[in-house]
Amino acid sequence: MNPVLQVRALERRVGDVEILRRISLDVMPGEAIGVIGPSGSGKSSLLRCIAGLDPISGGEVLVEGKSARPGDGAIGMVFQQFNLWPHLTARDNVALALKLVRGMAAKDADAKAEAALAKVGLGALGGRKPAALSGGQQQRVAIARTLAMEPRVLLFDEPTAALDPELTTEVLDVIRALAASGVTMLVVSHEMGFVASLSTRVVFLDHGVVVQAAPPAEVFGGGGEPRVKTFLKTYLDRVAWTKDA
Amino acid sequence: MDFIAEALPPMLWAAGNTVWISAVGIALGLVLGVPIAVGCEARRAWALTYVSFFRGVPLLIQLMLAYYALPFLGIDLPAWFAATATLGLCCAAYMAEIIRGGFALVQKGGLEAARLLGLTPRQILLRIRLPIAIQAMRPAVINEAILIVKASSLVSVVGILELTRSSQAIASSTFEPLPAYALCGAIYLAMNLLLTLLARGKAA
Repeated sequence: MNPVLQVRALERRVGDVEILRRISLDVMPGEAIGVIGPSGSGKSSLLRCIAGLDPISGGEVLVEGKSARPGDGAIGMVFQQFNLWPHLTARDNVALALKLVRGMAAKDADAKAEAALAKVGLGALGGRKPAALSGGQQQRVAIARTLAMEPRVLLFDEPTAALDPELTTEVLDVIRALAASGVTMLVVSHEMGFVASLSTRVVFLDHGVVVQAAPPAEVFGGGGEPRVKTFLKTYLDRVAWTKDA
Repeated sequence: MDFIAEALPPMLWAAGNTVWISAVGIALGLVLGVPIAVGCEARRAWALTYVSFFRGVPLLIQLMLAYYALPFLGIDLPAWFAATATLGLCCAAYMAEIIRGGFALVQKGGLEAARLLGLTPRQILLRIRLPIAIQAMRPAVINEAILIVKASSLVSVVGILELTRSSQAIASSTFEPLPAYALCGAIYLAMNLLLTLLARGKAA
């Protein structure tokens, strides 16, 4: 089986600062890659470079063997801040690209948008504008919008970072269901439990370098690199403190 | 009362000229304002020069240049054309700055999402940026529209009988300047209130 996504020696520099240093990664169909690491390690930059939103300084990104560029439909991305269009209803947010990019008739696009919204549990809320939806619902609309275009690879950039804990669950459940249905994805998240249970592989980034790329059992089960262990210990200490408090 | 009965019909007729000249000017300003705003945002010299010129030179002088100076270059414009075109071109410079301000309020993330979904730059401008910007810039656009309605009084210099000019004529022929100008002011006020209501109504 050939990889869906190939990242080869990807580099990104801004001035003298090296943000990503020769990152290589092959993602097989149906894989869910969890990307973790400290703030500023390059996780979001990696996703943005894969999506083509940030320029790369070296290397290449291939989707199904072909060079990817933004807007060709190969890669979909869900952002931390949802990035819905506030002047359109949830349904129109999902249907707009179907009409304009895919050239679907308005009726067909609306029907497909409704189906995508139903898939993320928002079937009844298609007529609402983003301002009338909760953060979790907005993020699910954003997922439906990306999903409706049927990208080969779906990127999630800290999809729950802007949500309070109660709303986080509903979004994570949707992502879990997608992963279970075989959607190929890369997920940047600080929700370690979620990453551990979702991912087929976990990539740990630090200072723009892949420190470890291994199955979650290995990364989280004590078999991690020293840098990874330090990071996870800090994280687990914080969780333990939260439990005690 | 006699004065009103006598003065109102010709003033309302002249106000009709004010309305259509302003309407064409505002519409032209809005339509031309979009590409100029895009040009200004990209720091294009033509757009920046355009805005500097039309904001920097008084509208009265622009009108005179269009009507009295262009014929020397062999361009002879009818008065109504010179008036509406100049008003529209001037309005476009201000609208461009308002639209540019509206663009700045549109979240970058929404545009990135649109780009990734495959929308073309033109689709992003017309379907995402502009509609979102319009929500934010509506008060400023209404403001500019009201200013244009009032500034349209200047087109009398090219010989068009609009509301202000007609009230001047009535004041000098009846020797009653106070009621003539009071009536003129009341008609402007009514027109601008109506304009504001229409713009707000459309918003709802």
